Order: sequence, then C-alpha cells, then structure tokens
Amino acid sequence: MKIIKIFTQPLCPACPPAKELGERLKESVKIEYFDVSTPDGLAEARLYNIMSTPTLVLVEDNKEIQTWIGTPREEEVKKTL
Amino acid sequence: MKPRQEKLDLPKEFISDVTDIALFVRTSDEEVKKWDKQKIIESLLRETKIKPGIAARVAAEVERKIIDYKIKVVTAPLVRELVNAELLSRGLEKTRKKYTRLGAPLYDVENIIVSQRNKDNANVPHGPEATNLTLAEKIKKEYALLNVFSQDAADAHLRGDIHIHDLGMIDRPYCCGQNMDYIKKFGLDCATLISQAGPAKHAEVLIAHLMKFSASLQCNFAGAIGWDAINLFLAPFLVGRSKKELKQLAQVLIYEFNQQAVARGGQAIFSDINVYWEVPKHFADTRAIGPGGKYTGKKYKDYEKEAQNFAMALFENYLEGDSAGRPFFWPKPNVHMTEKLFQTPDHNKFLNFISEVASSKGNTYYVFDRGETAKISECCRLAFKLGKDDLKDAKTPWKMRYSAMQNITINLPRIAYRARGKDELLFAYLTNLMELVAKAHRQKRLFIGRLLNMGQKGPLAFLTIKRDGEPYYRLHKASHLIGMVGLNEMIQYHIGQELHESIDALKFGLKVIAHMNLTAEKLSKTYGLNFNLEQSPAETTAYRFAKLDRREYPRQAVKVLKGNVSNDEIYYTNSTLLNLGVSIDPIERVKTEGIFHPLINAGSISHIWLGESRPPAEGLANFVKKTFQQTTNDQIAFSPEFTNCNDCNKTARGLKEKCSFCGSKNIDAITRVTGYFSRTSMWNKGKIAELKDRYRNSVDKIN
Repeated sequence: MKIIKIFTQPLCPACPPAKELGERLKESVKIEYFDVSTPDGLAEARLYNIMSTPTLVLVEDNKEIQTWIGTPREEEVKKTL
Repeated sequence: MKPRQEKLDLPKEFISDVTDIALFVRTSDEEVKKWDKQKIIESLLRETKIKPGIAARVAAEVERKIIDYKIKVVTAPLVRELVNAELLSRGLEKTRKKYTRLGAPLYDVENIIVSQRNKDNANVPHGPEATNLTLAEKIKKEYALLNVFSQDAADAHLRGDIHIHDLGMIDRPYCCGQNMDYIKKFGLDCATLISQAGPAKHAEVLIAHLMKFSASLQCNFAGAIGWDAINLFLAPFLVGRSKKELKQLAQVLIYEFNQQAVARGGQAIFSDINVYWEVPKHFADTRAIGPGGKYTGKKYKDYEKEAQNFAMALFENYLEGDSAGRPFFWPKPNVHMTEKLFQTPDHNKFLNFISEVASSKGNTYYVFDRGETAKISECCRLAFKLGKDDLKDAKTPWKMRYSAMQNITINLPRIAYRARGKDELLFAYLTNLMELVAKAHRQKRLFIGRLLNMGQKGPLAFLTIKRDGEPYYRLHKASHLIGMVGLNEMIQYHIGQELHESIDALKFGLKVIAHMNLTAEKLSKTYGLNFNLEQSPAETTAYRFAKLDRREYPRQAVKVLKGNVSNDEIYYTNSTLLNLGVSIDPIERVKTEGIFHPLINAGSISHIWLGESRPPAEGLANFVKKTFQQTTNDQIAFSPEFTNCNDCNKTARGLKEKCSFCGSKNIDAITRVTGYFSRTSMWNKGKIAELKDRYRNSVDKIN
C-alpha cells in the first residue's frame, strides 16, 4: 500500500502548504502527518533521515519510493503515484 | 575559619572546664592532646550551629561513655563516632549529617593500598600515586554526595536511577577541547608552575609545551583533554623539516602522551588529537601563528602540505606501535571525514594509510562531519559541535576552548521495570529523571562557579587565568551532558524485542531518544544552560546499573541482563548500541546505530570488533566511504585484539591463552574497553562479560 508521510512542525512557516497538499491528496492516497516537535514525529523523521520541514516521503510496502524536500507541485506527486 | 566564640549559659554540672581524667586524644592534626570535652562543644558549635546547651550535654554524655567503657586509645575519629551516635540517640539526624566525618574504613584503605586495583577506570594503574588518587576520590565522592548535591539527586545516584560521573573529582569540570594556538600565542603560563615560558620558537619546544599544558589541564579536569586540528596548527613550525624529522617529532608527541604515568594518579592523560587531511573550511583563511607567537604572514590554508606530512608521520608511528609492537593507547587520533576531504588530492592515499593503521593497530577513529558540521572530537565519543559564534572564533583560534561541565547518565532499563509495560508511565518517569538530572547539573555548576569565583586564590586558579580578556574556562560555553545506558534492554523489557529484532522495537527506541532530545532542549530553554545528550562511555556505569538492578529488580532484570548472571559478570548494552553479541552485517549495524546519532548532539560512536581478523586497508577505506555517504553515523572505530607477552615482550594478534611466541602464560590481553585501548586485566567484570559476548566481524564483511 502507498502512503505519503508529511513531516512538519508548528513554527515552520513553509509547512501549511504541505498540509494543504495532503488534504487535497487524501482521496487518492493514504496520508500520515508527523509533527517533528513531538517524540513520535521526531522518531519517524529519523527513520527517513528527514533533516528539514516540510518534507514528504512516499512509501510503498515500507519502502521509501520518493522524497520531496519542501512542498512539491500536486501534479508532480500525482504523476509519481 | 575561626571557631565561633560564645559565652555559654550552661547548667553547673557542664561548666567544669577540664575533667580530671588522665586521658589523651590522638587528634586529626597528628598530635596527642589532653582530653578536653570543651573541644567537642566547640567543634559542634562551629560545624553544626547546634544550641550550646545541647552541645554541652552531648559532650558530657560522650565523656561519660569514654570513662565508663574504659577506652585506652581515644582517637579523634572515635570521639566523632560517639558524638554522632549521641546526636542520633537524641533524634538530631540533620546535625549528625553536618558533623559527619568523611573517610574510609581501615580494612578498605589496606585493600586499596596493598592489593586492590581501581576497576572503575582501566586507565588507572596500581601504585602509590594511583592509590593516593583512589583514596582522595573516595573522600571527595562522599563530600559531593553530602555537600554538593541535594539529597534527592544523591539518593538517585546511590539507588542507581542515575549515575553522576566522576564524583571523586567533584571540584573539577568534566573534560575540555581546545586549540594549540593558545599555547603558541601565550606560551606556557600555568598558575601552578613556578616559571613561565614565552611562546615557543621551535617545534620541539612547542610539543614540550603541549605536553606540560595537557598535564596541567589533566589536573584541572576529570576526564579527556582534546586538541583540535593538531597537525594543521603545528604546521607553521614544520616548514622545511624532512620526513625523517617529522616522524621523529610525531614519535616524541605520541610517546610523551603514553608515558605520562608520572602524572595525576600515575594515570596517562586521556588525550585526543583531532587530525584533518584537508584544511578545514573554518580555518582556511585564519592568520597562521608561527614561532615566537608571531603571525607568519600566511593563512593556515598555506600550510596544507606540512599539515599533511605531519598527519602521515603521526600514522607511521601508530602503525609501528611501541617497541613491543603494542598499539599506542594515547593520544587517540580522531580523523575528520568531510566533503572537502574527498575533494582533496591524495585523499585516497591518506585514507588507505590510516585504514591500514585501523586494521593493524586499531588506533584510527573516523569522525564524520557531513554538510556544514564542524566539531572538536574527544573523550570516548564526545563532540563539541561548533555553532555560528564558534566558527567566528575560528579566526582567533586561541579562543576556541570548550568544556563539558559534568556528565550524568540515566538507567533506562530500570524505568521500563517500573513502568510495567505502560507507555505513559515510562515517558513520565523518564521526564522526571531528566528534570532531576538537570537539577544535579545546576548544583555542580553552582559549586564549580563558586570555586572559579575565587579567581587566582582559589583551587581552580589555572582555569581563571585571563590571557585574552576572558578566563581560560569559558563557563558560558560549558555543556551539561545527559547520558543513557541500556536502551536495548529497556526496549527488550518494555515491548519484548531487542532493538535489532523488529522495526517496532527500533521505532520505540527512537521515540525514547527523541523524547530525551526534546526534553533536553526544553530544559536548556528553561534554565538557560546547554543540556546535550551524549552516549556515555559508561565503562563502569553499564556494570554498576546491571549489578544494582540485579539486586533491586531481580525478577525483571534477569530477563534482559547481558552476560552471565550466575557469576555476576553482567552488563547492560551501552547507550543506544545494538546487542553486541549478535551477528549483524557491519554496515547494517553502523547504519542502524547511526539513525540515533543525529538525536545525540554531544557525540556517538559505533564499534566494529575485529578480533583476530585483519581486513585489507582498501576494504576498510571503502567501508568508511560508505559510512560517510550512506549513513548518519557520527563516528566509527575498528577494534582488533592483541596478546602481549610479559616474558618475551612480543605482541600477537588476537586474544590467546598463552604467548604465541614463547608459550608463556604471563600475558596481557589488549583491546578497546569503551572508547580507548587498555589491558583487559584492568577491566571490571561487566566489561569482561561484554568482551566475551562481542561479535567479531570476519574480513569479507568489511569492504
């Protein structure tokens, strides 16, 4: 199964567009949000070596398929899906 | 302090100034004095602020007991014991605490002096200097727990919830990392030295200054003494020197560090030298200081060739080892792997050469500085990461003086035992302990601050010397380390699997360390101090926690303890490491352990145990490149094992039952204990158990 993991944090000004993109994509793919200012979010971020927010990771069957640092265009994500 | 003079308003029976008993007391001042109970009253008033009437009653009662018991030899310690017993019988526990005498039982002192090696630290030999150190540490440890730390922190240490490191060196900060330009610019100016030397004019003198300065630092810090980019900062003194001369100079430096068994406690200086093949970006345009403390008119980037030649000379010596072919224990060479290194000409030649040393003798530590990271590396794995201000200081490198004030480690498995499988409890206990750790750190800082405030008249005079406008010890830069032991066993108990056994176990382990990281950040903001996580070396702590949990939580601990429970050779896996005994592909181990490293700001390491195998240098170099490019690991070291014969003085590869050359059983095993080489005969039981468990990697796995 494909999942897009979206990594954000509350004080990051560039993060709201990533969350909005997640809302638009949720009909076509499972979306999981991670706040890296929490232990759960930070732990998950370490698994994918996330160094900045926002970052989106497309995972299929626990394998990392694609990583976007910053918010990508919706079409680009859909094309990859 | 002068005794408080008070006019006592006492009942008549207590006023008799001197008793007429013919009794003498062997005092603490090496005198025999006539019995005078007034001395008890005076000392009670001076030390405990007890009410004069009670002091007089206590003194009278003690005098009565001494007479009744017909004691023939009265010593000051005995009198104090009787006074303390009397105070307790009157319910005056707080007063007794203030009146405590610190010291050691005769039996223990005999043991320490005659037969007992200090197993807390494999770098402490057995000899009169070493036992002086052990005995002094014993008293200072008691003092620290009674007088520096609050009772809750001291009790948490004694129970084994936390471990406050180096309590026996309570009156010093933990460790330090600095730059040689300080000595080059200011010469040798140590508060405790009788004479003062100006800046060195020759490389030989500079190395002598470096040694003396390191020894002085050892007397003022509990642990490691680190030097940054040593080959680069020596370079202006090496212009025109032949390769033979460079090798000789490097040899002097290495031998001097190894043969300082005349220093504090007969203990060689725990020393680190940071080495770069390239000129690091932050020092490239810094004005170089040369002979006589004068600017040479060049920048450090202009000394790349000399710095590289000296780096090679250092490793030629490490490759040879000492005259018996043993690896040098000190100074630890921490070689920085940076993006720039891999773009610098001849880096492959250098990388292969230091990897040959790693394979042959194990000395090389590979420190990974990815992206814009720059740091000074030292101790078993500690790193002082350089922030923006520090990188500005790189233009005036003598200012680059960093320190960790103290290290306190948390017993993670015990938290899991207490949480009984409940996540909320586990994180709540962890948060509470971290707050207590922060409290203990502030108490140590307050104490050291008091000593530093005494300036040149105080015990830390050396650290208060102001040669560049601020004291040598830059308190505002001090880091406060929070360590962890036994993440693997904590997770194993809490969710039933070890870190390497499932992704869920690994994720939960990451969550614990992420929680610690965020809590440390929060504590830093709350108290305005730098709290940083570090993988504690835990040479003693991993054993101490295991022993205490075996006693206090036997039912729980027995399920996860590593080693052999039946003979007390037990331990917890250090910090966030994976189980040392399981066979995991080495690059997978380095990769998985490395996932934790960015959460542990003040330093981490992965060990690859080699045992007898001796992989080719190219394979090791390739492994190092992969580690740099494909992992987030902070630091790795390869650890071979050796057997040195005390009869024929030859050294063989591997741990042997007897000498491979002459068959003698009078041998010493040598390998890495936590982050440094030492003889295994000086290790504690926990580390011996770990040594037996370590999974040794075969040659074909490392490439």
